[in-house]
Amino acid sequence: MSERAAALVIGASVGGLTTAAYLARAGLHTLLLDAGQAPREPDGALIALDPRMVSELRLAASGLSFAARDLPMALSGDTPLLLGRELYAASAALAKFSDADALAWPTWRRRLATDARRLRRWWWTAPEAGEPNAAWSTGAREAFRHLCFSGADAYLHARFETPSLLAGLLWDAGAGGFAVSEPGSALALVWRAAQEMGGLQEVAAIPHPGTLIGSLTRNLGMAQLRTGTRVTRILTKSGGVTGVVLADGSEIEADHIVSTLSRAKTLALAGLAHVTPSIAEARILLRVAPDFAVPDSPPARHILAARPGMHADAHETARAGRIPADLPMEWVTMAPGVISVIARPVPASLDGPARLRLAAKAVLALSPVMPGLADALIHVDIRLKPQRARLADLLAPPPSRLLTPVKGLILAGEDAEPLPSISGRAGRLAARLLLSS
Amino acid sequence: MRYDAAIIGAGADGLTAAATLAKAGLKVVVLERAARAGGRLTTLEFHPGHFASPYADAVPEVPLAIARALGLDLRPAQPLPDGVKAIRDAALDRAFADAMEAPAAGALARWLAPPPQSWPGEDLAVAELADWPALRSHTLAGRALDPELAGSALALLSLPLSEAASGGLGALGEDFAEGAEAAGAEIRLRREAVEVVIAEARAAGVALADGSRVMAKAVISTLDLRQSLLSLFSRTALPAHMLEEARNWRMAGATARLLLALRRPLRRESPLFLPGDSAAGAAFRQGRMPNAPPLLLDPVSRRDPSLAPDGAATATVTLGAIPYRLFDGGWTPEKRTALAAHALARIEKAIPGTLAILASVKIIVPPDMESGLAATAGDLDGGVLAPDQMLSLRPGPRTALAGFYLGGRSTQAGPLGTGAAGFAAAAALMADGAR
Repeated sequence: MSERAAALVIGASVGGLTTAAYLARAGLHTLLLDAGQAPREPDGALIALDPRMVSELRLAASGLSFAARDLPMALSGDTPLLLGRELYAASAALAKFSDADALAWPTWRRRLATDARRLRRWWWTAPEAGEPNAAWSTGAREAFRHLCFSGADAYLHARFETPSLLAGLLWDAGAGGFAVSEPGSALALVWRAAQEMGGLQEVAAIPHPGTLIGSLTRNLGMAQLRTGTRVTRILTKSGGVTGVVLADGSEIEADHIVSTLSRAKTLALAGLAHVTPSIAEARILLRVAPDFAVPDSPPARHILAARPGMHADAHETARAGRIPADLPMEWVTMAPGVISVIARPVPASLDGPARLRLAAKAVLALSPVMPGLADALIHVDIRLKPQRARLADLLAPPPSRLLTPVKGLILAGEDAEPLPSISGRAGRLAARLLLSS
Repeated sequence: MRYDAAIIGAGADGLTAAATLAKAGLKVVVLERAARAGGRLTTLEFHPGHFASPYADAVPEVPLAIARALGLDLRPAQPLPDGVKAIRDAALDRAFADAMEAPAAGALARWLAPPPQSWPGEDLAVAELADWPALRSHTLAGRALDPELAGSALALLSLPLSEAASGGLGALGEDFAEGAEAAGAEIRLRREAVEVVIAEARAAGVALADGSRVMAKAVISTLDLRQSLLSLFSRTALPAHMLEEARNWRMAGATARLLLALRRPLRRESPLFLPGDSAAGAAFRQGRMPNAPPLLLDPVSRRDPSLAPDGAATATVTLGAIPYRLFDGGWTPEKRTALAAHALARIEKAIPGTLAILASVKIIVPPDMESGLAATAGDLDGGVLAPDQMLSLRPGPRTALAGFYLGGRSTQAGPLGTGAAGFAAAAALMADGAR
């Protein structure tokens, strides 16, 4: 007779660990399956951990601590530009480039904060919250419609003129795989602002290595973590899940399965039709010799994008299946000797040589700011996250983002957030959804 | 002498507005810069015996009511698929209904105010044109549109469907002009409007380039939004937020046309579409000439033999993703020739023998569209058909200046049907008449 669990969680990432912790607290017999040898550290900087999750699971008491919080945005160019939370410092920095932009910056950030405050409830606390704009004034609703349908390029070009600033902000608008002219990409900037406001101290933060995963693992309680366990099939019967098949051929029965894999991968495991996005975000982890000094002071997220037009061009090239020649990237220092580079957009399927080319491209792009990087390189790891954000994802109420056509199969990975991110919020909502059913 | 309404521009919109108002008994004058009425509805003899329309071969469908009212002689339009047609018709109805509803007394129509409820067609604002493969070619022709991006499906609402039964678009333009005159409107040619006269905070007439003035109780401009607001008024005449909106209104011409005079009929009866390569969009954005822009070859004289001498043929080539401004300077004759040569080489490859029967080529690039039609940047759509510039987010016919109406392609009804924007402006003017 095969094994049985009340709930199965696939993937011991931040989302999976969070779900398992919540389920275990509720007394559910929970199994957490992970294909790797140990729970996975996040690939890049976090964008605001869910504050409720942090406090309810008492993560700080369980060891969570941060190496850097509130990373400012550093823009490349002949004159470097650092944009932090402090509005007037950022404005003063911008004054070196353009008086008009220096003036426009604080106004725009405040406007963004207003929009973000309005949408926060919708993004985070619904299902019970109604339509995002039900209670708004007519003027606010009209402005919201305009914002929804605006592409970030037009939206930003109407406000700013400094090329490096535009290129940097457009990088954020391209999150999740938006083309910067698509409706929803301007809203992506609001989403980011909402994340930053909600996380307070954990904005664009880097946890000390191991402390986030460690503190979550300490919360697992009765939930059982099994590493080295790959799920090869999700079993369904008359529209509901019944269990999973593992790589070794054994089966585990369960009425509820939470998957932190992507929507496409999860549906594929369940044998359902799915659309795989044609483009992806590449997450490249570079390990360098411990004595190699990474010039990252003050710590920042560095955007490598010089030309505002490069985002649209790169998107077109990536969709055509080629790695863009001019590829926008962002890098942060994760820990001494560990640099995380995010490059997007790239084609969703890249063979070995193409991945190698991509890694070389990242090293080349970083070399001007880090002379000697190529010599200091010890280890390179590349992961591709296929993603193609749509306006509907940003406006969909949370339960629909988490749900699948299969009864009992819930998503809690990066895909279940309005835009892909590692915040733990999807994990908490997934557990709540499962417990309420 | 004071008119009830002065209309700037004798294109399909201006003539429709004139006919609508004149039929209602108003005294109307249409002021046209060119020597003939019709605007883009024109046909050119570009080579002895060979005729073609320089700007387009067909225009967005003329709404049936307008076609009947003006007595137009149209070729039966190929039908739109039901889904798209329903959306287009519903959006058009919505635009007309909004125009006909006079704003509540005292409530100043907010500038560019989108109505609060959702409009039909907003599903298309997040849909991709690639999902309508059958309509792709004619929607992409002459545009810089990426069919794989969300929102590209909106251009389906502006699909060119209507053409004249015979004689090219020029014949259709004449029909429009005759319809307007028959209704009692006065058309004055070679009268270029340079400024809208304001008196007592109302539009009160139009000042012309020759120094004279035409006084009227209301003015309808069928020029695009930028021309209407930024060039017809002195800097201080309009509220700052209106000018700001006009400055942020994105216009981008992307169309080049080749008119081909052929000694013998083409070895192909149906239009030929060659999609652009994936670098065409980047080239367009950077102001470079694309290597392989989207290309639509239309053997127009197959449908309408009056466009070519007996035994010969006329064809048109519509190229998209052609920048209005090139990064390395203006559109010199050499660059025009290069553009034509490149396109002809691609056609020769697809239909061998075309070059051998070529008698003459006329080349039209975006700056020619701009000077010929007074369309900013040569944009034939009155503004980029992007989700934030479509449907309710396009300006309505009313403006913050009392008595001044917009009736061109830049308005809500503009891309939805030929003449529709003029009709909406006339409807708004009549609805407000009591004020």
